[in-house]
Amino acid sequence: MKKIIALALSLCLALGLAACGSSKQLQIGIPADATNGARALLLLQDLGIITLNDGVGLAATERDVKDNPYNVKIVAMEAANLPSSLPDLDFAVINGNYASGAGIGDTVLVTEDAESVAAQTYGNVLCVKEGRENEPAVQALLAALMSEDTQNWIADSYNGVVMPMGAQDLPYPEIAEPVTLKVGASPSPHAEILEHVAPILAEHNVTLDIVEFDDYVMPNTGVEDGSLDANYFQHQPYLDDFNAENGTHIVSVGVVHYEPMGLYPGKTTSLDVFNK
Amino acid sequence: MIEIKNLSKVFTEKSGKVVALQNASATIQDGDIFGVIGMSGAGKSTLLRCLCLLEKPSEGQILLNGRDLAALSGADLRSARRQMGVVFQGYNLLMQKTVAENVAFPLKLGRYDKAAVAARVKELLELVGLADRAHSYPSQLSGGQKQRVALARALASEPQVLLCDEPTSALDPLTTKSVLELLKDINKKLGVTIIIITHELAVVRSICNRMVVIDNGLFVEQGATAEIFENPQSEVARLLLGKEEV
Amino acid sequence: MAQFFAQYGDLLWEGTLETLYMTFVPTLAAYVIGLPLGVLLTTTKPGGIMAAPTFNAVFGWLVNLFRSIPFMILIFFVLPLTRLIVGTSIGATAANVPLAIAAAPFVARMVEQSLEEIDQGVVEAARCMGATNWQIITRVLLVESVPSLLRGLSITIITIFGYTAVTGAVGAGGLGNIAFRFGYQRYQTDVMYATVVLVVILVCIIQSVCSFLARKSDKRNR
Repeated sequence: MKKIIALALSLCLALGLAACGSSKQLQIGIPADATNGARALLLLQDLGIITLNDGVGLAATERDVKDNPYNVKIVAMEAANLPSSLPDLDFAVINGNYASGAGIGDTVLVTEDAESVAAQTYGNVLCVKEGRENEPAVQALLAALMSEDTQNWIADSYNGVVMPMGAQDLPYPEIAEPVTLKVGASPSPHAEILEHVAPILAEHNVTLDIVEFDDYVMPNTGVEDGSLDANYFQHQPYLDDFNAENGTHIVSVGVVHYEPMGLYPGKTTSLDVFNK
Repeated sequence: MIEIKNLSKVFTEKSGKVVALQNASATIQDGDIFGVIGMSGAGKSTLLRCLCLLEKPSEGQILLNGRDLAALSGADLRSARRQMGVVFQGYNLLMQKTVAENVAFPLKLGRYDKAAVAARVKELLELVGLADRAHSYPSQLSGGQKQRVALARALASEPQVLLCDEPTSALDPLTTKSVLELLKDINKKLGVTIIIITHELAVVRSICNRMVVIDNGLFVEQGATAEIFENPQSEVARLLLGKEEV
Repeated sequence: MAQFFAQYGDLLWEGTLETLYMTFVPTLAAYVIGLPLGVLLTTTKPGGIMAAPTFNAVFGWLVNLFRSIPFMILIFFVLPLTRLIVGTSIGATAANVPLAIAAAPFVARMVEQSLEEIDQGVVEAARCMGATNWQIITRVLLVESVPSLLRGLSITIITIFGYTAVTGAVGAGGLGNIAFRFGYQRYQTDVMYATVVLVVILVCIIQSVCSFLARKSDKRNR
């Protein structure tokens, strides 16, 4: 009996030592869920810290790391828990909203840029029912959202958690008769951004009626059945899923902003370690 | 010599006070086999628990050679308990230990010498006739054999008094007889005083030289066994002896 | 099949090691904490050898309180403590701390249950022989209850084994984490099935070994 207990104890010890074996590596935390994890890895690839297998894109996992010149250890964990784990990591790739919620938004070292696959894919889109893309009021709203003024305002207002896709100088169509445009949106930042453009649109004879939604289904069904003229709350992959599952015909007119992931400092505060 | 002096035990329960033992007095001489007989609920187990010092009496004294055991506590109490060997109705053996380990248990509670313990265990097992079962486990023994182990264990610390709580009530008549023979034998050989608490008349008649009849917490009658059996004075004794119709 | 193992063999092997590490180390720690607690729970009960009813009630309530915290919450709740004890809050080693803390009150209750099975008469017999409370605990209670304690051990190990599935939240890895992240989230059902099979095999082994030891150690039915 005592022999068996001794055996069990030494087994525990051996397992313990085996697990302690790997240390002194730079540890980078990434979210464990599929989409955010892949985005984080793509960001690390863009920074030249790792190289991923060709063509994995947004399906990447830490198992797809091809080259790891700095011998970093990727630690996948609960996204919301990354900010509080920073003291034990060298760096972490964190979603803007979690970083902002944890009050570390301003420590960000680098974020996904507007050209990145992730920003392009997960940028938030302005949507209407198929066939209404070219209505003047819709075009006017898009022009206002993409204007330099609005895009700069987004960049200045959200401390890096919400980033503009980049200004485009789109023409405002002539609108003779005043029209009202009813737009469904999430309270933040979408409704706030819409409120910012409301006065601009008013100059072009368009009155913006902003309807706030807390869920992600109603704004789409509203657009589909005509009770809303447009909505602004989702990204393209979500819209595609929604159309496929519900047989709706909603299309995007333009990508307005994205909510980037950023690399945040933990035990190591500077990216210089990757310059060797 | 054990003197029980004005012993009382009162339990305080939610429903009120329950008097389990009231002003009981008796004297047990060295070498006696003393029987305590009574019907269930008469106060027999309370008396036993007081005598083996598991329960502190509410009032009165238990004098062992003039020393009051009821007033002791802590280490003194524990060493006094070793003066009392107890054999329980349900044997109360350690089921995960061998016969030899059970008998050695009380010997290993203080400082001990391994060889001396082994020798003593062997001696005790020979005394109770179980030398060949030293390495068996209690579950492999019969009721009578278990009681013999319990007896050997109770005798291990060389107590002055052996307390037996219904030692035979779980045994068949033949085994009962042999266990009683053994008790008699031990009493003669070791000179140990034996107190037997029982509801069985036959037990008292066959081995006790003196006895007390207990009823409702009171010692109603005591004296030499033969006299009481001959000429019971109390109603309870007459009832127990079957000399009066219920 | 061969291709599957070439692709995921190392992942599954690593996950198995992590899971075993996160199962046995916390089990050990949980018993170091929980065994004395269980003894205390039993012996301070009214009628116990160290009866202290008020203490027992408060203590029992505390144990229940800790048992009622959902494990996922506990992981994050004890993060600062984890960091203090093992120096980090991430990885399998860090997961061992909340695992042990979650399992300790569970162990206390299992131990309590095992000790309660012991015939009170045996304890009284030991007292009559002049045993101290410490001797009663170490030589009667814990010895007499070994088979039952071993059966409790198997339940504890398998419970902790189950807990390890969610420690992926702190980057601890393990089979549960693999099943969830690679199997479920990425729709690789073959990975999910493989992990489930592994988990079932491991649980069966743990259960059989403990049952065997419990049977072997029990001298009551020979």
